[in-house]
This record gives sequence, C-alpha cells and structure tokens, in this order.
Amino acid sequence: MKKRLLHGLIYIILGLIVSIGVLTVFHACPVMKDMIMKCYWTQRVSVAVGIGIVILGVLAVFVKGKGFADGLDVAAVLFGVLLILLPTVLIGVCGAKHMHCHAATRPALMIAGALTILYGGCSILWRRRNKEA
Amino acid sequence: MEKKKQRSVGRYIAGYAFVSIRQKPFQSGILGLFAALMAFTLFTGTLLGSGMRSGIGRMKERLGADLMIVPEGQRAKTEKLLLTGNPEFSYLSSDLEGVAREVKGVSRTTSQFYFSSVSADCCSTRVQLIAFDPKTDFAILPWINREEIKKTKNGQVLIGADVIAQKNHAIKFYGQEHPVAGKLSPTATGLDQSVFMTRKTMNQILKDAKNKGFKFLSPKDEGKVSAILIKAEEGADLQKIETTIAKRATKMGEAVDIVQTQKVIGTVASQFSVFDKGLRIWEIAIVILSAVVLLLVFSFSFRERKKEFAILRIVGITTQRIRALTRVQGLMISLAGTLAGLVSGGVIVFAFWTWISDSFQVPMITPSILKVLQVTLSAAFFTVVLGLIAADIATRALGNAETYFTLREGE
Repeated sequence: MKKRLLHGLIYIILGLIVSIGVLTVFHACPVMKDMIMKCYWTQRVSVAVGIGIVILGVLAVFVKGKGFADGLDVAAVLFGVLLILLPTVLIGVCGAKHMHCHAATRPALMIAGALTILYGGCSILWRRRNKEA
Repeated sequence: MEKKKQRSVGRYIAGYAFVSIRQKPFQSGILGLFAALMAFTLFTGTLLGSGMRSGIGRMKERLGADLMIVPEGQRAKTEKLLLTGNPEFSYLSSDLEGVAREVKGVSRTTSQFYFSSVSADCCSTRVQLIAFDPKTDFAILPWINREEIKKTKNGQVLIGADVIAQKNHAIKFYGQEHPVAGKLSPTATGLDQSVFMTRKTMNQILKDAKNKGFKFLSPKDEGKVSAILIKAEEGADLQKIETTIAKRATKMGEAVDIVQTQKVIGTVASQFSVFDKGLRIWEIAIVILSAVVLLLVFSFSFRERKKEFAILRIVGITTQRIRALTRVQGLMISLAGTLAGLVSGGVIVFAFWTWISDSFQVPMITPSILKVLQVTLSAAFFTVVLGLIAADIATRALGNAETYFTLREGE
C-alpha cells in the first residue's frame, strides 16, 4: 500500500504541476480582443491531459493488480508523449521566440512530458524486474 | 601479479562501497541530493552570469549611436526598444537631422523610422519594422555582411536573429511577401525581433496596410522619422551636444527627448550587477550548506558503521583500505549527485533561457559549447572534490580507536 501510495502520488503531483502550471506560471499568451492564438488551445488541452495524469495517480493508489498497474503506466507514458507533441506538432505555440508560450509554456510541457515518460517507463521496468504488483 | 591483486582489491572495494550505498538508501539519497544541489547551483549560476555578461557586452558593441533624438515622451519606449522591442511610436521632423549634424562634436547622423506589424500575417506576433537610410546608416549596416547589403534592394528586407522567415525565404506584411535578403547575428536586444528595410520598402508596406484598412500614420506624419541617431566625435562632451540639440529643437518647435545610449546600458548593467551579486551570494550559501550537510551525514553514517569497520579490521582489512572504502563511497555518491545536478541544470537553463532573459530584462547570449563544457567540468570537479573531502574528514574523525574497544562499545 505504501509503495502504491508513493507511486500514485508522483503521478498526482506531476498532473497537478501540468494543470496548474499552464494556467499560472507557464501560462499561454493572453487572448487579444477577438484573436485567439493556437497556444491557447495547447494550454486548454494540456490542462485536460494533466487532469488525466492526476486520475491515473488516484487509480494507481486504490486499484491493485500488476496488469492494471502496467496499464496505468503505459497510459502515463502516452500522456507524456502527448504533452511533448501538443506544443510542438499537434497544436503548437506562437512562432516568435520571445512570446511567453514559446519561451515558457512549450519547454515546461516538454519537460513535464519527458518526466512522465521517464517515470512511467522506469516503473514498468522496475515492476518487471521485481516481479511484484 | 601485484598489479592484478591491486586491481581485484580495487574492484572489491568499489563493490563493497556500492552495496553500502544501496543498503542505506535514505542517507545516500540525502547525500546525493545535496551534491546534486551544489552542482546544479554552480552550473546554472555560472552559466546565467556568463550569458548576461556577454549579452551586455554585445549590446555595448551593437549600439552604434551615442545619442538618439526621439519625440518627447518616447524616452522610456526607446529604452525598451533597445532592450526588448516595443512597437508603438510617434514621429518627429526629419529636418532635425540636418540641424543635429551641424552641432559641434557630432560626427555622423542618420535617421530611422519605426513601425510595427500587426500579428496576423507574420510570426503570430508583432515585429518591429525599422527603416534605415543606407546612405548615412552607421548603426545597422556594419553588422550585416557586405554581400547582403548589395542584395538588399527595395522591397527586400533583412531580419533580426529571432524573426523566422517563411519557407520560401520571404516574410509577409499586410498580404504582400517581401524577400529576405539576410539575417543579422543575435544581439540579445530588441533588435533581434526587428525587420530592417529601406524607407521605400517601408512606404510600400504602409501603403499595403492602408489598402487592408489599417491606418497607422496620419497624413501630417508622412515623411517624418521616429528617431535620429547621432555618433559623436571621439572625446566629445555628450551632455553639451544633448543640450545644444535640445535648444535648437525647441527653437524649431519640435518637442524631443534625447537618450544617451550608454546610460541605457548603464541601467541594464546595474540591474545585472544586482542580479549577479544575488547569484553569487546564493551560490556561496548553497555550497556552504551542501558542504556542511555532506560532512554531517557522512560523519553520522560512518559513526554508525564503526562496528562494521572494526569487524573489517579483525578480518585483516587495513585501515588504509577502510579509508579507501569510505572515499570511494563518497566519490560514488558525489559523482551520481553531480551527474543528476548537471543534467537537470542543463535541461532547465537551456529550455528556459529566453524566458529567464525576458523575465530579468537583461540581454543574454547563449554561451558557446566550449564555455558550457568548461562550466560543466569545473562545477563537476568542485562538487566531486568537496564530496571527497567531506567523506575524508568524516573518516579521519573516526580516529584510530582500538578495534577491541570499538567492537565492545555499549556492552
């Protein structure tokens, strides 16, 4: 239980950092008059992905089973990939280097994505090595 | 034979140290964390400081003018333009350039016209458009390759380092494409986000804007300029020139502000020096804190293992080898911590480089690979050596107590 709690907590913290981060410190560019930049959509989808990671964390705490835990980690890895692809390929951010979304939101999402992939991947490998649920 | 034996002993010591580290994950984690914190702080602090220092240096080099005459009330905006790029301007009479040229101590004058594009067409942000006079310019052209100057015909533009051209090497303003003749090297100032062109090209863009329904200039502003740049003669009194020009401008009925560019740099430099001092104090505090924690945790951990070391002594392991064991353990932990600190520091600093520069409003130039390598090696060396010293001091503190008494301690 203790290990599951710690494992789930890490996902919950990662998810919260993503969701709250892109709305606060790493926010996208403000909407100007009627013009909505694409970073605005990246921000909104990232909040949803962050909440998804939080839900994964909660499930990881309460649900037992090795197969299920593996499934959650795979989902987390996919969410991590999504976090990297959102500001780079799928939606994107503003083109200019000095826009807040380009200078702060994009790298923050990419780092959060990489950490999620790294942690999810490591926990799958670790579970395989230790053969425990 | 002797060498082979030495190697196997070395391998045994490394293996034993590794097992000891794994057996105490919490203690090892704390030690690694502080080693990482120290490496992270030294690496990021040195790199940021050096980036800012070279950014200010480049800015000093890059600002060719000594004085800038701008319309009254535009002083703050001009200072901002130099630093970060600010797109709103009013205009002044171009006749003032002739007047300024005649002032004693003025060596050269040139005029510039600033204007900003609306976001939609290009770059998804506003960029600063700067029209310069190729005949008199001394501020922009020295920084452009000669071939590129030749290529810059009317209708073509030169772009700052941060402006991204379209795939067909053109940039679009108000529905019209303008071929990009060249890109300027980075300056870490607002000029990196600017597009440079001749006045004729600028007039064409203004016309295109008008056709699209944007009205930027009132008819009375046509033919006016945004700023007059002045290069003073060597050793001339800038303050005197400033006063004379201001007087003559008032006589002409022009309300102007005169910006001394070196003063702008001075403001940035003083901002930087506050930041730099803060950074140094922070670095020193972290190094001292980490060194103290490393020393305390190593001492605590080795003291706990006194009996273990006594048993090792009984089975014939020499004191030197036990010391080697603790040193290897210190080395392993510091190396792992250093690696973690450097990787995380590198990722954070380089990913957020522009953001950090914008937040502190200090121009920052990305350091060369050689500089990064130098900073990485020195931060790693310092952290590892400090970790080793801490482990060594903690070992020495154990003293040479009699093995028998150590083993029976507490009975």
